[in-house]
Amino acid sequence: MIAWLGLGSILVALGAALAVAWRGLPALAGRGAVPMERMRGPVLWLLGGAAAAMLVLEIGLLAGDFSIAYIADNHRKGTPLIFTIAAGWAALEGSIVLWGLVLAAFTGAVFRALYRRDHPLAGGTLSVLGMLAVFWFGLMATVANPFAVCTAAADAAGCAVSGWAPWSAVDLPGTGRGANPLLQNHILMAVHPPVLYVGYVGFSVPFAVGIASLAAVDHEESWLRTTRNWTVAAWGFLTTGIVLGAWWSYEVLGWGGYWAWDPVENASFIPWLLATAFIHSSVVQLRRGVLQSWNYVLVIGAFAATILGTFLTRSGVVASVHSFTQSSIGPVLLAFLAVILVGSLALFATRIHLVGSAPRLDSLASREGAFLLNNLLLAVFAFVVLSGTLFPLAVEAFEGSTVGVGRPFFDRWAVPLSYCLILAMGIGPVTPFRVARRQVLWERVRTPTRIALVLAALVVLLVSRNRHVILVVLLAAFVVSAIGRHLVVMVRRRAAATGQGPMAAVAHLMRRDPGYWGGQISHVGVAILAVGIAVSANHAGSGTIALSPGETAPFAGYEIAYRSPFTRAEPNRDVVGARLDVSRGGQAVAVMSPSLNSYGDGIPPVVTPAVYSTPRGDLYVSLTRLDSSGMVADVWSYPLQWMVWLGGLVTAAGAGFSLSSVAGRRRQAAGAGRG
Amino acid sequence: MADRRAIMAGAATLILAGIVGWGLGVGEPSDQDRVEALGARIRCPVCQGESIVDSPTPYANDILAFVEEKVDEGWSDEQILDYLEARFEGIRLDPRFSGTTVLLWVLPAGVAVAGAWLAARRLIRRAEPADG
Repeated sequence: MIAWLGLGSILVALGAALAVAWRGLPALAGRGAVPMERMRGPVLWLLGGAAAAMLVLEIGLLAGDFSIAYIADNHRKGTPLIFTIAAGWAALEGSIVLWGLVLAAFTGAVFRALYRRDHPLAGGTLSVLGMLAVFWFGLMATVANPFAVCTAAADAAGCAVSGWAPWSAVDLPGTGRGANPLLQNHILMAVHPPVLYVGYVGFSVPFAVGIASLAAVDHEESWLRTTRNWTVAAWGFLTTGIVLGAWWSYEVLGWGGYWAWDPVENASFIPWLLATAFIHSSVVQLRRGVLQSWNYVLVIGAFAATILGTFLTRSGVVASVHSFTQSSIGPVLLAFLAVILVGSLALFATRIHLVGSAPRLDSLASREGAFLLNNLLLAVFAFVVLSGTLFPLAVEAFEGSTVGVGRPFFDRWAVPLSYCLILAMGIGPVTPFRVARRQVLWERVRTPTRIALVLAALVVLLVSRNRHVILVVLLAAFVVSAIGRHLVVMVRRRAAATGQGPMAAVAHLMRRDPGYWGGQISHVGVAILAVGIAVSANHAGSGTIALSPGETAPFAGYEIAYRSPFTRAEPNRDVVGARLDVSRGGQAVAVMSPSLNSYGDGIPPVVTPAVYSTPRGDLYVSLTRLDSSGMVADVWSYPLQWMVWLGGLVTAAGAGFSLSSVAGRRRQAAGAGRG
Repeated sequence: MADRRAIMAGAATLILAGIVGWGLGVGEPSDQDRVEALGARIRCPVCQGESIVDSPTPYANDILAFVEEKVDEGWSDEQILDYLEARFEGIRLDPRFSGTTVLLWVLPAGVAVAGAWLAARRLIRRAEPADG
């Protein structure tokens, strides 16, 4: 039943996607606008089919229908509700269903947004989105059918062989295998992938608008304004998804860190870098009419990077802590990536002579110059991450030898590039457009420079002699105070002119230019993040404690006492752990319970760390051994770790701010139009 | 009066900059720092892309203990890495500057230079335009 309904929904969505692609095609081929009424039906069917497929999969999971191979392999009776639902995207096929749903939702949103404004690129954009949907739903309908039926149950649990056709003879597995333990060990796992997917899939929209604009030879700013808002939205979700992923890694994997330059982390970081570059360079085009072709390259690149990321995650070509699923769809994804790249770059090449020739910049010492520097740094950064990720694959393919490219390589590039980016982030936003005269610029950065120097000198004298920490504090303080000074000056000026109170003036200013101030919120977030990364990394402490019950060990200013072991049976797992009494200066501050969680026989237990967070920083304990004689644990201390999470979320919030105001204005305009 | 204030402000700025500069300049890595830094550059042979510092496996801890021993004995970083590399293929997480891996270091720099050159050539209005 589930198999029929599920595959049926997918086929409906596939048919609708074909119709969307087909009906929009005339617009894409430059044969005029497409009547939008003809698009409404297919878009709604696409949305309905995609939602139904996800719903049917979730119903199957909740009902525990093990006749479906995916459910037999990723669900077990007794799994808590939240992880049962999350199992819907815990493995390859299910995650493609979620991908398809998000893509359909974006298609619907694009239809709504562009239809109402009678956008000249609406037809072409929808057509491209339709083609992308054809690929993903085609994948589900053929090689990655999430509703494939189990035709031979595995001996222990789960399904050994599955058949594509819903009418295949079922061999019902008695028990499910359950999702990968790592994926059901923490609540963040239910949140992080969907958020990340919204970010990933969101880049389909800028790509579609860009392709539609190239194909229709519409190089007006309309494509850029439209694209920019969609990119900011996708970027906000991607940022949140990356931060939540890092957090999950920290709270679940128990290796004592949050970012490892793992291929899959890199795969999410490359589109982030390119989208960040685009969000900045689009401003230059909007204000000064330059960088048109570069903006197309960035939009295409960011989208291609999301597909590359999916390929790396899902094909199993890279060894990664994220290699949860390996399957045969790798070649299909690679072919898709090749088609995307070759197709869009070929289109770009045939249109490049039509892309308006640029009026040139007057001077590098200007806002435009800062944006250029930003773009250069971000592009190089993306290239470094890309080459470092792919290099071991290339060497293995061509030379047959293994080369490790890891944290030291990435850090060596990322650290100086980040310093330059943060410096540009401080100077850029206060630099005037066109030509910045030296006096004007100095006037604007003088006070921030002094504030930064005072803070950095205090750090040197009182806190830290680590040069990374000093430099990051210097740069971050400069960025934040430059933004603060700019706001104060603007508010004073407005208050003097209008007699408004300062709060009203702030509100008015920020609402008048949400793009700029949303950006500044993100900049403050990056500054906080940078301090958090530098301090937590460079002043981290680590050690190993081996204790018998009743014993105490000192670590990083804390006294850690091993009280007793404990065991706890939960519906989906057995938790074995150690109860630790943590005190500081004789005062009890926390009870920590690091544990080893077992999710079934034969699966090695998942090391689950315990984290005690304070404003000063985190104490992080991860068990390595626990038996009757005692416990052994790795311990870390990370000062100011919370700044990493806070900074990341503030960075994402900047996108929310700039878009909430866009939505507000649109509502206002609609209200005014009606009135 | 204004002059004197400007001079005072300038002097204060210079002193602060001096303190910050001094802070950036000092700091010799201790033996423990060296072990950590070296360990971060060595891949744990039985893990997936983790360094021996990050990995909690006993094997990684053994190698880390070996590194610590050799640092104590006064071996140089390169000596230790060479010794390990002779025994485990691809154990370095930061590939050595030779052979194919040169690309990994040179290409990004090349992209940076090419990008800067292209941007400067295409986008900057020349000081004296050849024709109006």
